[in-house]
Amino acid sequence: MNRLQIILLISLAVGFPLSASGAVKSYDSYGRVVIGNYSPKSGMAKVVFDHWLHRAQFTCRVCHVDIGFLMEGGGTRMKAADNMKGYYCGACHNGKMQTYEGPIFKACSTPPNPDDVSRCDRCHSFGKNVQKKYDFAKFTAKMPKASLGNGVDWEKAESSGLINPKDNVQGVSIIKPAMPVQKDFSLDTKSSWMGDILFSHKKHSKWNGCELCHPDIFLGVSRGATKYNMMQIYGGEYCGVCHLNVAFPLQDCSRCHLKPVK
Amino acid sequence: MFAWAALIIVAGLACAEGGVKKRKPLPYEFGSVVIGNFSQSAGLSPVIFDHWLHRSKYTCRVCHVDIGFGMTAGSTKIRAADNRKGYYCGACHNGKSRFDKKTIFEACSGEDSKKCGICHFTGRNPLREQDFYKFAEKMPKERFGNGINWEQAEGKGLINPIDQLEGISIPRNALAVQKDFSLPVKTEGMPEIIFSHKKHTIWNGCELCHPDIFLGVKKGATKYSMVELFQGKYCGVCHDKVAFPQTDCQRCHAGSLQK
Repeated sequence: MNRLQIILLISLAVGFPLSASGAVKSYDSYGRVVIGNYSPKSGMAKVVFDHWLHRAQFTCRVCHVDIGFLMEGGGTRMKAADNMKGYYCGACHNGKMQTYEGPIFKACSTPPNPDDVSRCDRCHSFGKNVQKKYDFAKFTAKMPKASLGNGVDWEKAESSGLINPKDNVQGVSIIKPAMPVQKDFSLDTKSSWMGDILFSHKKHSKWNGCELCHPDIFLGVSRGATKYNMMQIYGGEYCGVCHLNVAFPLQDCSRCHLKPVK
Repeated sequence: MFAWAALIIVAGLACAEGGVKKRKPLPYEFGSVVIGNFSQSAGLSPVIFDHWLHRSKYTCRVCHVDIGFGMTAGSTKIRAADNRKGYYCGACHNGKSRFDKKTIFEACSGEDSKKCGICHFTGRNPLREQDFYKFAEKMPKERFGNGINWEQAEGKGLINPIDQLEGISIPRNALAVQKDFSLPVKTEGMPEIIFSHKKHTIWNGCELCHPDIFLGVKKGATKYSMVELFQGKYCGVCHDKVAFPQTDCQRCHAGSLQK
């Protein structure tokens, strides 16, 4: 088996179970996570969480650092009780936190109020035909286009001011002085036919701060201290923690391999 | 279930290899240690030890220097017999010592089997969680760890950790505390570290860190890198597991910018 076949096999093996709709993802289902650690046991449908709606409003850091969601579907293992205590979804979905549209709906209550089924359905919607409040096509109509992922160039959407993701949540985030951002740098590739990677800390820290990636995913903070290869990335490690499922997918080679081959 | 989750956290911290995101423990779980060297072979559930409860009442030094607990989960290899003789947990948990006018329960006496479950219990304990919330409510907030800024809690007098135990600690004359100093960093653009001996000695005295963890007592004598720290050495012995996690960059990198 050559290397390409191995990569294809790995991406299928990793991609298939993570995707709710099969190996090929549609724009609206990219970044979809189905969470069902405890729901079926309590007679509820599994939760369908779409990243696109949340990432248009908040940075990745807020949820994955301050609130503490893990980076793999079902990994956090939150319970309704956690949400009700103000952890995880309940950090914002508490029926109190205000947005420009009024308070954010409350997540989870036990026992579920029979009048509240439509509220449960907003998240516990797996296998149900639930009319969502926000329509993907309408929401993303004005966004800059990309060919893969959600079909949206989120980086441009942010830099052009079309979205303005919040980096802190009142009562959850504790704001610290910003750290200086390292300059962009290039990472040498191992293959002669492949252009070098241009890595931008600036673009990444906008969404992630320092703490989403360091030290858990990239142990070293000095350049070259952490060694990894494309196989590991396709296996969901390093860059692949985000760039397989939520951030633009790895198939968009030239978004990272930017430098022309010499 | 919880036991496994806790074991995974502890194991995860012990071998920080990178590559994937680790679970962030909930505030009441942070600093939990699962101890099960001998419990299971004696037919008991392993012990879950909560640091938050003890550190709100005692300094780190009392337990890790005077009593002599190790700094990694399970490394002390405590036996029930040790506790009964007044070592380790039994130094205070002897049914005689008092805290806040109450007698501290006796550990491992074998007389009252109902008492075993106070420590030998790995299920989710809603009462302990409630106790935590009640305690944490009044404490200054912090982003990681227990969600408590322990340093401020002590500084403001909200907690007053005991540093000497009758019958165990032998008081010595306090040594002079070194002034705060800055540690230069290697990565360009990273703010310098401001290290405060004063903040550390309140909890640790000299002997918790020197000479075991930091062999040298002169500035610059011990060389280490962030990678080693993240792997649980040097500062990482405490910070990440019990003291505030190292992901809270700005709490140490608080100095002026490197040029």
